Amino acid sequence: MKHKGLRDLVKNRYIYLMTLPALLFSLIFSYLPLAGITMAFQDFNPIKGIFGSEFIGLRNFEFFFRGRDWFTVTFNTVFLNLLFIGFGTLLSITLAIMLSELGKSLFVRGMQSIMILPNFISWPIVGLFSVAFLTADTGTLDGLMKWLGISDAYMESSIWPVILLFFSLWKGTGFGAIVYLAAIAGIDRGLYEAAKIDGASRLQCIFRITLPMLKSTIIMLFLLALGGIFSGTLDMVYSLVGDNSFLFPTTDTIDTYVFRALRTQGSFGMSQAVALYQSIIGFILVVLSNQLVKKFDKDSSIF
Amino acid sequence: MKLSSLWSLSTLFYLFTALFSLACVYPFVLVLTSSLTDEVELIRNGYSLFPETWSIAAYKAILSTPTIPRAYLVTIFTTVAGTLISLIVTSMIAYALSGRKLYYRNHINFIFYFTMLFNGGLVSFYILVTRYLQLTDSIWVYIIPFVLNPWNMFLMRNFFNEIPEELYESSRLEGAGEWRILWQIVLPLSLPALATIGLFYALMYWNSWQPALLFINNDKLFSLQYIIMQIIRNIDIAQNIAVSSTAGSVINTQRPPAFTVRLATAMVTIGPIIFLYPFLQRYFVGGLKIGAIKG
Amino acid sequence: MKKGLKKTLSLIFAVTMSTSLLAACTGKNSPSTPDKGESSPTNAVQNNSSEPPAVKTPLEPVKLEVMLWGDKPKQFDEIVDEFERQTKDTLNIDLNVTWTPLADYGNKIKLMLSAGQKIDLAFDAPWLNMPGLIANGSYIELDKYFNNDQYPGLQKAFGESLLNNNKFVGPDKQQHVYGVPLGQGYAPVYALYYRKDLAKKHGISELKSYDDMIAYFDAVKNNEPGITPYIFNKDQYPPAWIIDGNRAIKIDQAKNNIWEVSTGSAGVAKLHIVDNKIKAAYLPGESTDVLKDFPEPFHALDFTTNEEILNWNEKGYIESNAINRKDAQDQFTAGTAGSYMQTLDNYVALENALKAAVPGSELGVYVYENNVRNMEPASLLTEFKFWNFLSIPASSKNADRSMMFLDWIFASQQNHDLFEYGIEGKNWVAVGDDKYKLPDGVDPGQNYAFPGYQLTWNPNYMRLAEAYPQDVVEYYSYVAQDTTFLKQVSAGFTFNGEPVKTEMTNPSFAKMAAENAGFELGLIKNIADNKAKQEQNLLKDKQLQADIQKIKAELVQQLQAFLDEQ
Repeated sequence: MKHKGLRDLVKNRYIYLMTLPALLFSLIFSYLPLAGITMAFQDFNPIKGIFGSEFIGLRNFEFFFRGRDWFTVTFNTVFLNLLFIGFGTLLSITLAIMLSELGKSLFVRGMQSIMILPNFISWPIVGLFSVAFLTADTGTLDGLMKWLGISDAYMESSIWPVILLFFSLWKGTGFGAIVYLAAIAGIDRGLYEAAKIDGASRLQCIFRITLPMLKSTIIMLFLLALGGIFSGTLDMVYSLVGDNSFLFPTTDTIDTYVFRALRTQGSFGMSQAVALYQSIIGFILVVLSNQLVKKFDKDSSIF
Repeated sequence: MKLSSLWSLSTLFYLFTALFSLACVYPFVLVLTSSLTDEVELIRNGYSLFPETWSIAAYKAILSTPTIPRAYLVTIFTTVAGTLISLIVTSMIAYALSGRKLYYRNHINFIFYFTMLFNGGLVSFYILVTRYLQLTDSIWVYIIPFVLNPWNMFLMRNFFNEIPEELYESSRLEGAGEWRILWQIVLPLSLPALATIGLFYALMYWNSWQPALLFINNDKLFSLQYIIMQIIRNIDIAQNIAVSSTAGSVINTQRPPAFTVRLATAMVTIGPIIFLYPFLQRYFVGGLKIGAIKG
Repeated sequence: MKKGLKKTLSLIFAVTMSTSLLAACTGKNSPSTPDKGESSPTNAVQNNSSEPPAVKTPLEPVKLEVMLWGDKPKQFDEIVDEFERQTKDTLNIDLNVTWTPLADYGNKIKLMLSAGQKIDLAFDAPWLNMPGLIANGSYIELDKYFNNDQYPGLQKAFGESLLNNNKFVGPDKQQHVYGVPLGQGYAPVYALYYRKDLAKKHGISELKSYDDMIAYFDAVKNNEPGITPYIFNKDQYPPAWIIDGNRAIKIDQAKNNIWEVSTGSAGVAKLHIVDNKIKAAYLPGESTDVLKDFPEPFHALDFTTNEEILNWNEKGYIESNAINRKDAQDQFTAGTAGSYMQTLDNYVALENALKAAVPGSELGVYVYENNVRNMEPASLLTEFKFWNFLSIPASSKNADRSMMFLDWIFASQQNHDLFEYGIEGKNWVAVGDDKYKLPDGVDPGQNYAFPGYQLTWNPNYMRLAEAYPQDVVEYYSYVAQDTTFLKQVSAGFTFNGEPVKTEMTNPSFAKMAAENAGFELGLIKNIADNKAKQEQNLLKDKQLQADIQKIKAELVQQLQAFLDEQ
C-alpha cells in the first residue's frame, strides 16, 4: 500500500505540487486554530489564554442539556434544515432547467438576474418586511389565514415551518439555481442533438439527459449541506421570529435557543461547546452518507 | 402533436419562471421605493410602491459619511485581488483532486472537508491573525485568511470532473506539463465553472466586514460593508437606548432617519455587484464540443 | 456556504446583541442622584500605594489606547487635538480612541484581551463584561487612586459613599473599586409623554392622575381612529410600569421589608429582610408556596396588574399584539400614537421631533409614579449604583497615566466640558453655571455630541439644556436631593454569579422570560388559570427547580454575608 502511494507521489509530483498552496492555507488558517476547540472543555480565562485556562471536562456542555427543550430544538433544527435543503434543491433545479430550456433571450437573461436579487437582502431587513407582510389586514394571505381559522400569524406556531420554508425558498432558490445553470451549461450539446435525432421529446431529454448529468452535482451539494444540518439557522430564524415565545415549539432551533441562553451570562467556552456538538453530529452524518454514496457512485462522494 | 406540446411546455416554463421572478423583484422594488420615502410617512403609512412624499434623506445620510468613497476603493481592491488569487489557488487544487489522478486524493479531500465542519472558534483565529501573522490594520487581512473556501473548491472539482480525462490524456502522453494542461485545456473548457466560482468569491469579498470589525482600527481601511454595518448597528442602539443625557437630548433631535436608512443600506450594499452576474452570464455557455476535439 | 467561520462568528457575535440595549445607560433602577461626595477628606488615605508620578515636570509622551462604543462623534478629532494641545506640557498624552458598535463591543474587548492586545482604558459595565472580567482578574483595582491628594480631580468628583456603593467583589472576595463610576444620578424619572393638543381637543386640560390618563386613552380610542392610545416596544416600557407605578408597589414592598435583588439571567429575587437578616426568599419560577413566609399581602402572587394589562388590551388602549413593535418612539413623534413612555430628559428631543412631523401638536408630560409626581420624599428606590464604568486592564502598562487623564477631566468644569460638550463658543455656549445651549446657526446634526456616559458623566459637573421647560427642571432638582431616595437594603451588593454559572445558563430561564412576554402584552386571557398552568409546567421541570434552589442558596449566602458586614 505504502509502496503504491509513494510511487504515486513521485509519478504525479507536479500535480501534488499544485495542491501545496491550498494545503498550506488550510494548515495555517483551519488546522492551527483548531487548538481553540479545547476551549469547549475549559473554563476559558482570557488572561490565562487557551493553554492556561482550567480544564473542566464536559461542564460547558451541561447548560444546553439542562433545559428539557434540547430535544425539541434539535429536532426543529434538523427538520427545518431538511425542509429547506430538500425543497430548495428541488426548486433550484426546476428553475435552472426551465431557464436553460428557454434560451438566451434578453427576457430570460433578465429573469435570471432578477431571481438572485432576494439573496442580497439581508435577513434583518427581510424581518422588517415580514411583519408587514404577515400582519396585513387585506390581501390573499389574509384571506388564506382566515380560511384556516388563524387570527394572528404571530401566535400560531403550527404554520411557521411553512412560513419559514417560504422565506427560505424565496431568498435562496434563485441564487442556488446558478450552480445548476453552470452545470447544465457544461453538458455536451451533442448528446441532445443525438437524442433529438432519435425522436426524443423535450421532456424526455430533460429526464434522460439533463437530470442524470446533474446527478453528481446534486449529490455532492446535498452531502455538503448535510454537514450543516444541525446549525446555520440563527440569522434567518431570529430575524423572522425574534423572541416570540408563542412560536418556539416549531421554530426554536439550536442556534436561537443557545443564543438566548448565553446572551446574558455566556462564555466563550459554552458557545464553543455547542458549536462542537453541532459539528460532531454533522460530521458523523456526513461520513456515514459519504460511505453510502461511495457504494453507488464512486465519483460523487466528497471523500 | 409534437409542435403543440413543445409550445405548451415552453409556456409553462415561461409562466413559472416569470411568476417566480415577479415574487423576487416585487419585495426588492418595495425596499427601493421605501428607502426613497419620507421617513415620517413611512412610519405612519407603512411600505408602499407609490409613496406620497419622496425623499433622498436616507441616501444623503449614508453617502455623506466621509469614509465611504475610500471604503469603495478598499472594497473594490479587495474583491478584484481576492477573487483572482482565490480562483488561481482554488483551480489548482480542484484540478489536482479531480478525476482519479491522485492516489491520495480522498485523503486530501477529507482534509479539506474536515475544516468545513470543525472550527477552532473566534478566539484562536483572532490570536493567530493578530499576534502571529501581524495582519492588523493591513488591507490583506480581508484576503489572506479567506483565500480558499472548501465548498467552492469541491464545487469546482465537481465541474472539472465532468471533463473527460481522455481529452488531455493525449496531451500528457505527448509530454505536456500539468500546468499547460490546466491552463490551456481544462480552464477554457470550464468557463461556466470559473464564472460561477468567481461570482461566489467576488460576493464573499464584496460583503466582507468581519475582518474590519476585528482587525482594523484605521478608518481609511474600512470596507464598504463594515461602514454600512456600523450605521445599522448604531441606529439600532440609538433607537433602543434612552439617551438620558442633557447633551444627548438636544442632539437626539437630529437622529438620522432610521428606517429608511436601514433600507437604503440594502441598496447601497448591493450596488455594483448586482451587475456582475449579468456580466458573467455570457460565460455560461458550454465548452467546445467534445466531439469536435475528438475528431 | 462559508459555514465554519461564519457560523461561529454569528453565534458568538450574536451572543451580546440585544440584552445590552435595554440596560445600556439607564436601567430601571439606575443612576440619577448627584451624590455630592465629600470633596476633600483632610487626610488623603495614602494606603500602601505605589508612588503616582508628580505632575509638575513634563512627562514622557505616552499613547493611550481607549476603547469606547458607538459611532465616533462628529468633530471628535478636533476635540482630541484641543485636549492634547492644552495638556502637551503636563500630561503629554497621545489619545487614541477606538469606537466599536455596541453589539460587538463586549466580544471585541474579550478577544483583544485574549490576544494580549494593548488596551489602557475601556468602557465596561455590570451589564457587559465586568462580572466575568473582574472575576478572572482582567481588571485592576483602582482604590488607590481615589481619596488621594495626588489626584485632586478624582477626589473632587468621587466621594466616599459614591465609591462605596459602586464597588465590586474581587477575586480576593473583598470589595474594591474596579471601574470609575460614570453617571449623573441614581434613578431617572420616567414619564408618560402625551399629546396635549389631543387632550385639550377632548376636554382634558392636563393629565394629573391615573384616572385622567384613562380618560385620555378613552378619548383617543373613541375619537381618533388610527392613533393608538399608548404605544410601546415589545422589550421596553410596558404598560405594567405605569400600572405598577400608580400602585407604588415597590415602595409598598419596601415598607414591608420586602426587597428585590437582581440575579442577572435568573431573574429578580424577592427577599424578606428584617434587621439585616434574610427571613425568606423567592425566585421567579419556583413554587409559590415559598411566598407563604412573606408578610401579607405579599404572601401570594398578585395578578392585578396582569388583569389590568389585559383590560387595556381589550379596551384597545394598546395594540392588540405589540410583539413585533420596534419603533414606538418614531410612531409617537410621527403622530400615530397618543402617548409614549420615556425618561424626562428626552423632553427636548421628543418635542422637536413631534413638532416637525405634526404641525399644531403639543407635548405634555405626565409623571405616572404617584409619589414622584407629587415630589414626595423617599419615593425612588435605588441602590445608589451607576451603570457605566471605565476600567483598566491588568495588562496595561499605563494605568497611572490613564488615571491622570481622568483626573484632568474631573479637575474642573472647564476640562470636563471640553469632552462632554465640545469647544466652547463653537459647539456650545454656557448659560450661567449650570445650563447651556447650542450657538446660533449651528446644525445639531453636524455638531459634536459626545456619549458622556462613557467618559464624563458625573453628578458634580452637570449642565442642563436651556430648552427644558420649568417643570422638568424642577424634577431635576427634586431628584438631586438625597431625601428623594429610599435606599435599597442591598445597596453596595452585586450578586456574583460565577459559582453557579452553569445553573444560571439553564435555557429555561430565558424561555420563562419569553413566555412572560405574552402576559405583559395582554395577549393571554384567563390570567389566573394560565398563570397556574405556567407554574405547573415550571414545577415539572425538575432540573430547573434544582437550579433555582442552588442559585437561591448562593444568593442568600452572599447577601447575608454582605448584610452582616453592614
